[in-house]
Amino acid sequence: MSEAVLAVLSFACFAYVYREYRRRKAAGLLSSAFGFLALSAAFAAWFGLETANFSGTGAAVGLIYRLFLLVIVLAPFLLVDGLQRAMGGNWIRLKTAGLLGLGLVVASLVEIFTDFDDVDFSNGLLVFHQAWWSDLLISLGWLALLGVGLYAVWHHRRVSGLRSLALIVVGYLAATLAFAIIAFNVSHPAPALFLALFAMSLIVTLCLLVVAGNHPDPAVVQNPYHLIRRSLSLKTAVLQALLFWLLYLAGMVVIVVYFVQFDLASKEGLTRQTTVRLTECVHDSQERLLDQVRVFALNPRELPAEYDGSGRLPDNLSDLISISGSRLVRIVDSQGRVVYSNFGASELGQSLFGWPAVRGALSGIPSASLEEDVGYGRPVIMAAASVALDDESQGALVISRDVDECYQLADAFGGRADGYGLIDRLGDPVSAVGSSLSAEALSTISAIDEYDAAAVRRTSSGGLLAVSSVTDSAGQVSGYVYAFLSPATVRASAVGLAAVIILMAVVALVLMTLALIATLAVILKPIRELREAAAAVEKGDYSRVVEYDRPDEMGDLAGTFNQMRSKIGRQTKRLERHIQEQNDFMVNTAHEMRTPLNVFSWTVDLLRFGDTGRLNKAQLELVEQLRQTTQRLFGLVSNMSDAAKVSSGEFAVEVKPFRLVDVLEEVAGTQSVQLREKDIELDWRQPISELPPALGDAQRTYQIALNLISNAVKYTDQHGKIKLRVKAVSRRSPDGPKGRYLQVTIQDNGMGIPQDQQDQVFNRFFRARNAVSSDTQGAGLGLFLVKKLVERQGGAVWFESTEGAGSLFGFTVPAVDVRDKSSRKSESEKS
Amino acid sequence: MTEKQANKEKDVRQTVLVVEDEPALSDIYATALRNGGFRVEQAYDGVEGLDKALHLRPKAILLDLLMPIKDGFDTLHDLKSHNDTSEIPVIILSNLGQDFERRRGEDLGASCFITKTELQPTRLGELIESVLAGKGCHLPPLPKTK
Repeated sequence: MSEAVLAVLSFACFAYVYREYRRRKAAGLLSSAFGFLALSAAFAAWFGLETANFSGTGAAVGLIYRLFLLVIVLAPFLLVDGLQRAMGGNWIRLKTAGLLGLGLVVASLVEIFTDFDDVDFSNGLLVFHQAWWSDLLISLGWLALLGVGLYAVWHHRRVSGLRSLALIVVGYLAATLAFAIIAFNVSHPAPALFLALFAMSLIVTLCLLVVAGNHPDPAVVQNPYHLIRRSLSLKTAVLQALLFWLLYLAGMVVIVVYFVQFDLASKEGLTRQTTVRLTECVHDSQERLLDQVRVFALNPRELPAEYDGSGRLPDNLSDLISISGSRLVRIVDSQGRVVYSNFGASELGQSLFGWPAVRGALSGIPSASLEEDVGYGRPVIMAAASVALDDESQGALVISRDVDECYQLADAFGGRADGYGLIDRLGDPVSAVGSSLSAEALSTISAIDEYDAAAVRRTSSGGLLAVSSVTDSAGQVSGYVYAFLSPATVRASAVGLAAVIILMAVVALVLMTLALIATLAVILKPIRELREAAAAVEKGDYSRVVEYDRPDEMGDLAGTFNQMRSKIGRQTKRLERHIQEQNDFMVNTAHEMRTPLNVFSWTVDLLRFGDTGRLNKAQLELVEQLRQTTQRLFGLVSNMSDAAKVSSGEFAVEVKPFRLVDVLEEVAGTQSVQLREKDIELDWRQPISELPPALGDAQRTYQIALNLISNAVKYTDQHGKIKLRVKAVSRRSPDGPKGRYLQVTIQDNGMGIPQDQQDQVFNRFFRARNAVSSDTQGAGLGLFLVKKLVERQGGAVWFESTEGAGSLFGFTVPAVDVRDKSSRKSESEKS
Repeated sequence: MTEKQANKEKDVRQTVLVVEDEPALSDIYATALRNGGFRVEQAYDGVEGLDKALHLRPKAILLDLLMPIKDGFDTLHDLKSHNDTSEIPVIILSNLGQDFERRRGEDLGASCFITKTELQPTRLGELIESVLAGKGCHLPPLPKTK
């Protein structure tokens, strides 16, 4: 049965892979498709042969067997080839092993064709007979196949993602085929069970492979098992299906065990019954024959002491004995020699004294027993009684009956043994019906001490054996009757049952999984809707409503979600309005402040440049202080205005190539006096090789660098050190996404930022408490603005700081990709 | 001819303004320049320097960078932004010397940037003459004395 399932599954795989081939035109898919087709054909043929009860000559069947094995080794080779082409990579070892196996099988086939008549098909895995080495080759071939599977599974840990999965598929494939071969050869339910298990795993893994390979999400392609982990319905369905399957299997195992017990008991009963019937028949026959000869003892007649050679019964016998069928009548003299036999003249003169029955009869006791009649050639049930012969001596009358009559009786009463028969006193088989006893069964019999008709024994190969002794009329054992069931018969019903159960399990599992997935998809639909609505809310769309109003828990959740959504929407809008108002206020204020500041500035210039008359030194110094303070105010107002604009998004940032090193030089220049005044060393080393141009807004980058470097100068004490570096990097930030960037790092050994305040550093208006207390100046907008500007340009900013030891600030600016033609063009336009 | 004019005509020497906060250094430069045939005015910080430049209109200004109240760069910026003083060549003479410092000086419009360690004060006169003649900041190498 399992072959039919495998044939169908393989064909489905072929159909699917072939369709993929037509769509994608990948050579690997074609070989895989044909691999599956070959498998499907092989299994279908196997199933067909079994169903049609094919029996041909040994050679023909042997050929078919080998052809089948060829396909078994060829198909996975094609599949592996297809997989390897699809996955890329150099699976040289796998392919070599596969080719080896293939070669071996082909060699054995060639051998068959040259030695056709010597081939003899025998059932078995490792068969050694006349053409034994061809089978050895085949066995090596599928051992190579197993090797391929094991290697693939062992190797799969070294690779990742789809390739790993592909290798697992190969492993499952090899295992499935190996168990298929075993199941083909051994009629035991276990291989068939493993076959189904591995076939299922193979199908599941193949499906995963195909679905994951096509998946748009690269994380899934990387690790296909993600597909199951990401889908609630798949996870639940797989778990439940597995649980069901395990329970079902457990239940079925219990049922099978009970059934097998029951079946065994009934088979034991039948075997015993056969033995009992036979024994009873023998004893009954003995009794009846005894009765007949006793009649003679009671009605003595003189019987002829010499045979007249006619073959007819003497007249004075015929009315007392009815001779029908296999009845033998003999008359022996006082020495036991045959004087009359209806069997023929050949017996005349032979001594039957060896038979206990004859001896008993001659000594005056009518006796009966079961004996091997050498003259007759078969065992007979005989009875003898003494009679008077007409020469006044005492002889004996011996009547015998063929034991076959008992066999027929046993058959007529529905004896169900595979074979039954007789064994003589010495333990040698005497006659048998049906299959002959195996040597092992014979040895079992001879090992038995007590023969109790009630006991049925199991032979070591799993057959059933019942033996009982047959006693003669004197109570001595004259022989044994046995009945047996071969191991195959004993197992047959269990195997059949197991096959049906496995098939049902597979079908049920598939159906149940599909049903579960479908049901869960329906039940979990509101979760999907919820997820989509949540994603929309995250993007800022507060209008997305979850439409699920059923009164169950999902409905509650949906309702709560909707309420939350609208509340958040309102809050967000309110907050956004507030921020907008704040921003507008800041922009307006900054704008308003510029005018009076301009007035200050012009007034100061008028004063100091002498347009109102020459001032004295003291006055000039005061005016200079005023001028510097006004400049600082201008800076603050500018910062405030920028911060407001960048928050509300009305901030133009141009994107052009520029030389970052030049910008940094300029910034360093503006700090040169403060650096000297505080005796801070600025360790600024220009990079050795030319960096690629930065892509962004030179002015804004100047602002960023100025903010960060002036912060470093501000917050570093006397005699400190600031290290400024710029280099090309491949990530936007130390753990950020990849790309081409220029990274600037500013390291100082100043006061640092306290640990507990570090997460607020980029907040608007943030000033670390040690900065506030150290009397350095700043409105706190600097870093907020820096972060916004950096991110607006497409870079990232970060820092590391230890209070009292210093800080490292870093930021990145996108770099021009030297392969990017458009930027090169704008470069040449610039020059 | 007024007395003033006569006085002016009498004095045909060119004026150089030395803006340097170290009095000792300022005197050294002043002496060297007077020896070189220049008239020298001295200012001891940026404020004074700007004021004197505006009113005295020197032919050249020697500017130190590190000065209290108003540093050299700031002074330079102001000098170059006022019509009356923007044409006056400014020679920065400073003990700052890094590339970014020179660059700033150039960006702001200085004619020369010379570190104090590079220059012998005795050659200051030659330097000013070279700048005034439009030959830039290069001092001719001293003839080898044997």
